[in-house]
Amino acid sequence: MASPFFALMAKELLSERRNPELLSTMALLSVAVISIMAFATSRPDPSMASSSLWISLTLSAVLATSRLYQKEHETGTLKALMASPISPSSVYLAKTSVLAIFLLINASFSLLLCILLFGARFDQRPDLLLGVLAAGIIGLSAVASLLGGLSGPRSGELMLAVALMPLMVPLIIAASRATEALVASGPSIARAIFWITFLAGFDLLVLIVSLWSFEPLMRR
Amino acid sequence: MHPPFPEKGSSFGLKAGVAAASVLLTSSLLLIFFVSGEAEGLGLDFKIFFFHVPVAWLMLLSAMVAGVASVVHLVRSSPDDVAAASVELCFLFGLLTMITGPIWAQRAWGKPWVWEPRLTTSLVLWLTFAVALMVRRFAGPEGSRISLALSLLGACNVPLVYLSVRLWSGGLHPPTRVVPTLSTRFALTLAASLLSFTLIWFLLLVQGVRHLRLNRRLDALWADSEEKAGPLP
Repeated sequence: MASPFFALMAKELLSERRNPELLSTMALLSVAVISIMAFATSRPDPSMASSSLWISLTLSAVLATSRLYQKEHETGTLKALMASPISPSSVYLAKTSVLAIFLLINASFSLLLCILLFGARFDQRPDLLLGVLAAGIIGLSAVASLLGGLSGPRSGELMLAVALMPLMVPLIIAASRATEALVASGPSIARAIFWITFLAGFDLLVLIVSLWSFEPLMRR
Repeated sequence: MHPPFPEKGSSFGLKAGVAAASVLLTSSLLLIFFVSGEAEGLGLDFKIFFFHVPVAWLMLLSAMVAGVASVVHLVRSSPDDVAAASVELCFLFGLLTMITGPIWAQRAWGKPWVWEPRLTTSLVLWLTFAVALMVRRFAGPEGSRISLALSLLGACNVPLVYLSVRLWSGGLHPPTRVVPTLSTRFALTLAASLLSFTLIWFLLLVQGVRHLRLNRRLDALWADSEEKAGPLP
């Protein structure tokens, strides 16, 4: 399983290195979203940073999923991969990992924007912040990658965005609350740990359900 | 060769079910409006409790059935009629929950909506199944598999909805063990209401599944007739 997994991941990363269209679009989308959030309020303050960060990451995840799967659907590569001896779980995990890497790069850029525009302090507990980002991004990628694979060229990007939103709501609530607890002056560590645990549980559940159901759903 | 169309045989069971549901529902309404009495400080508005609790329970039951039916469908490769019908029922009973809940909340808490754990998790559950229903109808051939994935993940939210009042402190919703503390009249009325609504839910589920099967058979008959007719001149 490991070899096709790494080969598929390398293919996606190489493709993005040759033409960094997706990462640059995600970065631009983050600038737009975080700026709009700052402009929409008369006094941007650090408390808005966590919600802006996660809204930006959620929208970036929808955009990236759509782009990651679009070409595969158009050219029929995904069907070919399903017909090959490669385990569908490897395909799912490779897509999820690539999406998570792209989102992590995008998150570091978005954090800088939040510091700049909202004056947020993310340096109070960097270890826990990394935990929130990792848990939140793994969950976003796992859900988005499952539905991205299932949606075909005919169901379209709009349908993917609509289908993803309700599943992402619990994740956004938890990730946003955890980040908020860490950004606040006098961070609430217990609260942050509670929400990180919730996120870890969510990730585990989504990964188990997705890994189990990806193959039978794709073969339908 | 397809079996005769329309489907016969189950009409007696259906008629008996509808008769039983009608008797039970009438009895429940009589109990709600003439026997249960009024709750202190809430007046007549309390009656919505006997509608809200059953529809909320049926929203959760529909979600669970949709999840389990999706698993069965994926394991056995059987038709996904039960999952599809349950998604429709989850949407319907969720909508009723979202209507009856705020009516009661306005009276009990002074606000139709409060962002507290039980309400938030219930809304997420309803939205998930609303989207599952929408994609099944409008997302083309891939819609049914997206809907199945949403049903699977949505069903995982059911325990969270149930446990939300215990997991998060500070919620306004009453705890999950409130039923044993009700007076005998209230408990009896609630039991009758739960029973009648559950029977209606079951009849709707059976009819929904039957409707989907008939639709599929109609499609097959249509395809057969087109095949026999041959290409258009």
